[in-house]
Amino acid sequence: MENVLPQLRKERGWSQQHLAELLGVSRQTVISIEKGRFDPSLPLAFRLAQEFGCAIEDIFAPRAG
Amino acid sequence: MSSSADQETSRSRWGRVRFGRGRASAMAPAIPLGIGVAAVIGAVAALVGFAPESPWVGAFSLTFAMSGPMVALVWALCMDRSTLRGALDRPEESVESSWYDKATQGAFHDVLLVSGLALAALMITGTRVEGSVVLLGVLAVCLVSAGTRYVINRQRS
Repeated sequence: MENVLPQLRKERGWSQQHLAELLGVSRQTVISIEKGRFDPSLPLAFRLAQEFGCAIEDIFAPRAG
Repeated sequence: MSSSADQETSRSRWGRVRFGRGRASAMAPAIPLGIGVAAVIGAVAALVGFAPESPWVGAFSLTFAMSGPMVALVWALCMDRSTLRGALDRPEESVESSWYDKATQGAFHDVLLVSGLALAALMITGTRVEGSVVLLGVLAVCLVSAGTRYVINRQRS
């Protein structure tokens, strides 16, 4: 999946480590999600959306093609 | 300081026990209990003829060898993860968990393949192998396969 997580995170001035701590996951998880190499579980995607105050589809979108 | 930082500083390197009210370090019961379990294993092994020529040496050697793993096992069983410094709140949702799951799934298929091929080779050649050697081989394939796959998954991320 494609995502706008890096932009959203930078808008808030959060580091990857800070976001990882908010979510209760490892920093490597945040890195892998941002690179599009790891699709989060639904509960984790919901928590991500909750942290940024938006809907899941505002962060993630199916990869084109 | 943030709440997550407060929570982190209240945690300890070895964590605390998950039972009782003392909230003692998890290592406090793990060391004596682990060594005790190892000593029991060593004594039982000596009694059933592990080292018939020198049972005391055999019992002591096995106790020494098993102490580390048994202390680690008791520590893992009695430790409350939420009190361990650096422990993730949701490890099951982290990418490392997915690497591990994929690695162990792949290792299962590797074990099936290698076991099948090895069995065919033994049947054709008529070779007989001890059960302990077979189990050691299966264990080695499991560890090598899962470990290698985990490292590959990590590098891909």
